[in-house]
Amino acid sequence: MTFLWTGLAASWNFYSGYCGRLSIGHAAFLGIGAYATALLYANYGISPWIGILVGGALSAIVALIIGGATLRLQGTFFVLSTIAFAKILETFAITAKGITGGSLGVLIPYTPGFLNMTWSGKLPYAIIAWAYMIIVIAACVKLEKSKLGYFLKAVGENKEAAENLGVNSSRTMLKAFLISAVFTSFGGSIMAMYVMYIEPSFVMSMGNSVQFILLAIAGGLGTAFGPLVGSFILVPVTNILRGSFPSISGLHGLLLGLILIVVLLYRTNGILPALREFVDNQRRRAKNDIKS
Amino acid sequence: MILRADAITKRFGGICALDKVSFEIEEGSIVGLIGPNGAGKTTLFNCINGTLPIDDGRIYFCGEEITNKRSYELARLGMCRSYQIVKPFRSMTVLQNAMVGAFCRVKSRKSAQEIATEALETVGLYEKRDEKASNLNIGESKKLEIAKAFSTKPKLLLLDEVMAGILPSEVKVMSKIVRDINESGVTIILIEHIMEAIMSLSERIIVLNFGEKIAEGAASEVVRNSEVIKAYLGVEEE
Ligand SMILES: Nc1ncnc2c1ncn2[C@@H]1O[C@H](COP(=O)(O)OP(=O)(O)OP(=O)(O)O)[C@@H](O)[C@H]1O
Ligand SMILES: [Mg+2]
Repeated sequence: MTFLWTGLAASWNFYSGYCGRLSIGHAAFLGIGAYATALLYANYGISPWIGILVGGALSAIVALIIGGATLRLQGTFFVLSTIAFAKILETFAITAKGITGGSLGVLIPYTPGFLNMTWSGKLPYAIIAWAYMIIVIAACVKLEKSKLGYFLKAVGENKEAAENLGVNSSRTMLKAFLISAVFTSFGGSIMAMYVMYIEPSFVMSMGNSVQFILLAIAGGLGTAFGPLVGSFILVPVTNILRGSFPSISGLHGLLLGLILIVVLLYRTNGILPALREFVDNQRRRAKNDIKS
Repeated sequence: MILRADAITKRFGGICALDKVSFEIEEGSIVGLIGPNGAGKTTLFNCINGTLPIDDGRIYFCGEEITNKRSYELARLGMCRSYQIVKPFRSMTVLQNAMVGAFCRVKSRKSAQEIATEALETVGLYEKRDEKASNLNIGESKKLEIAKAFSTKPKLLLLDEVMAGILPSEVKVMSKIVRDINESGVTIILIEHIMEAIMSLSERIIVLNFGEKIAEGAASEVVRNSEVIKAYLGVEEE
């Protein structure tokens, strides 16, 4: 699960981290991926491998429409619009019983096999989740070195100054948003096949969005490996907390909240950038020592 | 002729920031744009380069009408500006800042790096290439503004007070940078308050006051123009 969370956090980071504009409603794309895969498989027996792709395509279309309408909005309004959008989809999933099974959710039939993306052991899921994580992180590494990555950061920092240098800000944001949505959708599909049961309050909930966003923010906004650091520190810690103090529910939520507050208060960009800065400063100090 | 403005008008609510301003810019020249504070100089840049829509008039660039085109389209056509209030991408390094501009012309990171490096050398920021842009002082930030814009390989560069707020000793350096860029074939419009610099750099000068063009001509003529003296000293001549 840690791999999966890392992949999701990195997917989210692909747009929001590099651009600095928080898409809080990103769970909507997780939900689209999960539902597309689960429904196609449970109702029509279509292989989840195809379901993943269909979910991705669907997410891409939705991202184009939603992105086209909301990406031009300024900071807070954009954040609010993403929340509204996720809420609408969640409500749709609950009320459109005929299609989605309503709040009862979708139960995925258990028939192990590669084509069905279902296994009796956990290892194959871990491998898939690991591969997913690697692909998304690799995409982020590539983004950092590409024209799109430079443009995205520039637009995030100062849209007017970026446009003056020839950056089409709407197109830049839309492209990154779309890629981010598709990656998130893939993660949703994998999650559905792993959990074998999905319901709106799980795959589309704000809590879910917030969880992988927190991992990315804590680890390092706009860094390829930040989500990895964030997840591999926080996910085990929350699991231990949950395990050792089962009577205090929500303790891990409290911890994540605290971390977020610390990050925001100190205006750092998360654990990884803070570490880097620390190392840089040490190096600089060492250099100065040698000079003097 | 690289740029032609035909009766540009821009209003902000009640005030008329630009009132039917017309001028032509010769290719390859350096033209000074002066005027008292609030005269509308920066607004004129905003209108020419598509940052603000104009209310009336037409603008032509390289013979093509560009009225109300977006600034990123104009950057690709070869027009770029620097900001009076600098707008660096703070979290990026100096080199990366310039590379954003270079990506306007090339796709690969390597070529962008080459173009950006050249631009940094031109403005004398090469040594600082790996610094975060947020660590630069005001003079360096102004140079970075120029380097970013120059990296887009412009035909026309609009420089807004790149010498304001820098050390007097740096003014000479900055003048040389402007001249070097001009000699590499870039036409330049220069907004500046430092008369010495503007007199020595520009062949022609345009003077704005309260949104109106009140004078235009060779540098030596313009400073003797009575309208201009009036605008600057704010007194009636006997
Ligand atoms: N975005 C805006 N909204 C409203 N009014 C504006 C705007 N931009 C400029 N103005 C007004 O337009 C007038 C011209 O301003 P502008 O910045 O162009 O002057 P300037 O000649 O560049 O002055 P300075 O030498 O101080 O830079 C001023 O009265 C200013 O207050
Ligand atoms: Mg100004």
